[in-house]
Amino acid sequence: MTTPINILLIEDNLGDAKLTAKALSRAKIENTLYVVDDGMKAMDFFYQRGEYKDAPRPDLVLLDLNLPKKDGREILQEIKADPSLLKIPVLILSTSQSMEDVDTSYRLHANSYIKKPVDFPGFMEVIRSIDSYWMGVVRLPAMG
Amino acid sequence: MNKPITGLRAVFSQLPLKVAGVLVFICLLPTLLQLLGADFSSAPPVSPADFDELDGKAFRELAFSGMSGSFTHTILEWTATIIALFTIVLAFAHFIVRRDIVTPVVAFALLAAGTMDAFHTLAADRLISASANNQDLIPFTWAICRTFNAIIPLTALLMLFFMRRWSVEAAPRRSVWVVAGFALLLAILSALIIDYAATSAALPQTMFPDATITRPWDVYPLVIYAFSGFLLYPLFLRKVTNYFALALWLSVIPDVATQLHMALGSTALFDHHFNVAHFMKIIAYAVPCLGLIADYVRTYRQVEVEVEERKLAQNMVEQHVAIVQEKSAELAASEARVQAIIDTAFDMIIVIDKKGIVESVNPSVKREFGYEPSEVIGQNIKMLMPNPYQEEHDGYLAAYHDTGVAKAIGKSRDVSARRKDGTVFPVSLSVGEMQLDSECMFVGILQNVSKQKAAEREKTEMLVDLQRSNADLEKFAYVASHDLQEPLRMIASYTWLLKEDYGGKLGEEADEYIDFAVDGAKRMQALIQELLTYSKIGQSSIELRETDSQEIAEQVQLDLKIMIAEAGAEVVAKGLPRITADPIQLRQLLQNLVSNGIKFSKSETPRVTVSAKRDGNRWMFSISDNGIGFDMQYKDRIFEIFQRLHTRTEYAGSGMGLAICDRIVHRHGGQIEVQSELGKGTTFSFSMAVDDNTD
Repeated sequence: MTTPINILLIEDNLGDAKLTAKALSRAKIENTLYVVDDGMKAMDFFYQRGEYKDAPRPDLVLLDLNLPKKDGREILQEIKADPSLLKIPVLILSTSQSMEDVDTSYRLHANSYIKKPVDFPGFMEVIRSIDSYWMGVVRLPAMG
Repeated sequence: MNKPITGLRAVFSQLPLKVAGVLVFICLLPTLLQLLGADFSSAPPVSPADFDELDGKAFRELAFSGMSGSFTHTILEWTATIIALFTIVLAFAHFIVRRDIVTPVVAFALLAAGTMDAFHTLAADRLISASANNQDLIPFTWAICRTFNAIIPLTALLMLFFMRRWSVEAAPRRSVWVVAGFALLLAILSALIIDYAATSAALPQTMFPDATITRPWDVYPLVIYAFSGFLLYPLFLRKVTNYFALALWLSVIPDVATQLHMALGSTALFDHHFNVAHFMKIIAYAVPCLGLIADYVRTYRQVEVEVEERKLAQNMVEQHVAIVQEKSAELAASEARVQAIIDTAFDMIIVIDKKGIVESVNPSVKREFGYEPSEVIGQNIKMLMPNPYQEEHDGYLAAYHDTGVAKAIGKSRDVSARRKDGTVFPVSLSVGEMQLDSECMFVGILQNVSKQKAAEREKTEMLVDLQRSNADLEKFAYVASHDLQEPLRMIASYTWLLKEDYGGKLGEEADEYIDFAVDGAKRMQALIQELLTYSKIGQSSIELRETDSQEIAEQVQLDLKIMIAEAGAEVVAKGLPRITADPIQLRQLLQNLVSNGIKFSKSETPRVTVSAKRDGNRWMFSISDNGIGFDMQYKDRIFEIFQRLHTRTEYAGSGMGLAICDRIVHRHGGQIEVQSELGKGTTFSFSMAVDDNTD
């Protein structure tokens, strides 16, 4: 019995957040999903500030690019600029197909760029592959 | 005789030889006849002793016969005198017509001589009293008359010759005085001589019957005649060219003959030579008279010819006047026509001179400019122009005048014009140059193009609007379909989730509702996807490059592998060329057409053939199937967006596929076409540019 891994989903669309949660709940690996709906809250979560004083350190981050207050690109840049956070794998999960967004994300050291499929079966498939790849195949760095 | 004669030889060559010959013959005739035995002497005078034994009747007979010499002499002399009178009458008539003083002057000289002859005759006949006896009076007065006769015309001619030199005759009034003065002088001179001859009792002896020169006094006139005939008349004739003068000259011949007979032949009164000499004198008087008559005839003929010529000239003038009148009428009619055209022309017509001053305008100018013609004519054309044309115009005219390089001539250009009220309107101006009476003029034809300009502007604005609205529409379609995706994804996902989690739990009817919702969301997603593709083709710039269409066709077959397999279809694509195209769009195009061919198949094995053949610098592609085909009346409709010929239950699809194809071909500069027959199959064809590198 391993300790469940902590996943932070930064997503302003509650529908998507719920879908993601739904999909992850069917995942094989035990996980705890935390959801924040704007960039400022995300940063508070990382630095365990305010209401996220007791928040755990996430093992995997699922980041939407278009967010209120502070968008996904800034969050990515800040995480990867902070030595204490840069080891955390960040997967971009976006509806955008634009090559520019893909390029920008990888330049800012995103670990993966995933386009949200438009249909639910496809979406479930993607979450399932994240589950098997990032939580099964890949060895994640040690925390701390 | 019309040409002035120069040179003495030339003067002699003008002598009418025939006339001269006839004269010489007449002069020789009496001598010839004498040689043949003729004798022209009158009966010898009767001596007083002859009357002694005669009775009264015989006495009278003898007395009369004794007078025969005297009678003959009188007849001969009187004839000469009458001719002289006749000559002077003719000469005066001539003078009145011609105002030529030579003729009357010479004729007066002849008349003077004739008058003296008359005196000589009358005296000889004792009709007037004379002191001397007849034996002396007759030869003496004869010799005096002859000398006078020879000298006077000569003097007159010489005088006139010099007068002519001094141009005295030019004034007609003076010529009358000259003639009158000369006549008076002659009258006085002859009267004095006659008076002397009549009153002198003892006259010098003039007849020497035994000498060689029987009458020496007659030698002087002989010499004068010869001298004048050979030298003076020819000199004089150089200046006067009429028959009278010529006849005067010719009269020297009988004059000389007269003197020869008298000086050398006559030994007694009324002898042969005496009578012949008197006859010759008549000839000598007659010749100038005939000359005058000849002049009359000539003058009359000349006048006739002149009258005839004048009539002809008059006719010609009348004809010309008629022609000119006719032409003038034609010209006036033609001018009226042209004027009518100019006046009714809707375009403005302005004529200016080379300095830019307005010469004429047509009524349209008033309509457009608001100026009366009188306000414009005579003014500089610049008044009809706004600046900067106004300032440039003088420069144009000067430049054209100097260099011949025209900025406006021969072409139409758009300029601005200014009305009387100062408003400016656009005109199309064409200028022509014309040469009028060696003066350069310019004709300007102006057309008010305000309406055209406005229409043009409107059209341009509309085009810009249309392009903008098209672009807006494209953008809208893209943004809309892109942004629609997000909420649609929610609907699709959650209806799906609803179906998965609650399917079979809410009752059959609920399951059916959920199915419809799921299906609708799915279709909507497909539609939006297609719409996005369609608008992307319109928006993004295409990247034309060398593309192997065979390779693209093979990739399409791979992409459609499942579909082909499921339909059991056969897709043939062989020997396709390298072309210039956007590979991504070409792939989309071929994929849509091939999948279309498979989709609309009949029960038998669907077969789709992709081929291409060269047509000039393009490749003609054909995609043929053996499918259901369609009615050709829909051939345009199938390329419109969201247009379908079948229900979704028969054949799935969004109705965007062919619209996308049409757009792709269009963006490649081609046109997609379709040939179809219901139940037999369909062939789509389109052209693509050849690959520049392989060509």
